[in-house]
Amino acid sequence: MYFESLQAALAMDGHGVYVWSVVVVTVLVCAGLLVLPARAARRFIAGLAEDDAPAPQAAPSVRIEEVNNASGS
Amino acid sequence: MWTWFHKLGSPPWMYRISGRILAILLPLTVAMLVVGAVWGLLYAPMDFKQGNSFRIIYFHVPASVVALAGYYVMAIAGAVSLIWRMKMAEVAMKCAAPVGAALTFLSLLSGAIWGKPTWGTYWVWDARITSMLILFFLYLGVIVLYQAYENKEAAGKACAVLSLVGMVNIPIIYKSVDWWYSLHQPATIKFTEESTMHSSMLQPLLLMILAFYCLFTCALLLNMRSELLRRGVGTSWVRALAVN
Repeated sequence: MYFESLQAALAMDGHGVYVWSVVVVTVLVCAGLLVLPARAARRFIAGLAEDDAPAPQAAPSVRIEEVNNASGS
Repeated sequence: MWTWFHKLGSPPWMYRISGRILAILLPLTVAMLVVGAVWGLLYAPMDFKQGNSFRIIYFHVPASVVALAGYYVMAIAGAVSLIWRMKMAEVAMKCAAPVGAALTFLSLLSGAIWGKPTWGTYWVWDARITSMLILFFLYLGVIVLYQAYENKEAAGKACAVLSLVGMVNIPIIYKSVDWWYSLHQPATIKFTEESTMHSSMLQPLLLMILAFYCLFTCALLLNMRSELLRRGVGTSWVRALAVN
């Protein structure tokens, strides 16, 4: 390694704040470029899969007890 | 050869083949970015004039080079979509714009941060920097113009024309440091002459440039896949993806 210690690498003779801030911005931009479209596609497919899923069966409008009561009376 | 060209226009084929390319290229890109960044930041020697702030070159130059190359990709895709009415080219043009804009933004911001310790200021209305800012606005123009049109066919044509007209800015950016007196340093990597950098500094830079080209390709393919899905709603191949 060019630097003698981690502190020296972070400080870079007073230029560390400039260099490391560029590194942070680069990481954010690269991550955004790769993660955002991949996530958008995954969500899109998940949304389609939900739309294609069969709808849950509708609950009976009359409860079974009510039917039994009605037939017994 | 022509079979391959025709296949390129097929959304399901493009979606499938781009998935295979990304499976290899994406991890390779991340590895190259990490190795190149660590090499440049921690192992390359310091510049005797600029000190350690010179290490910003490992992010600024690759972002700038690929932002310019990305404009060529966008403009050529625009020309193909205009001349041959190829929908896939229109998709590529539309998807290249946000990637190019992000890299131009990175180039401008890293350049501004680099300017402070080197020139004593974050910004000057220098020919190179101003023409790069125009490139950023051209990318934004293509993005906004596409959104502005209700009719997407007309939007594609308008964006293709804008991207072709904007091509005039690219040689201006390249030659700006030679044509005008500029604070910005001339090109360090030259095709016709020997590079002004020592190989111990140049090697990580070349690796980072290659990594950024791969990054552009990955981001473009990912954007295109997302766009192809949106355009393919209701088609059998998109429904099949949702079922699987």
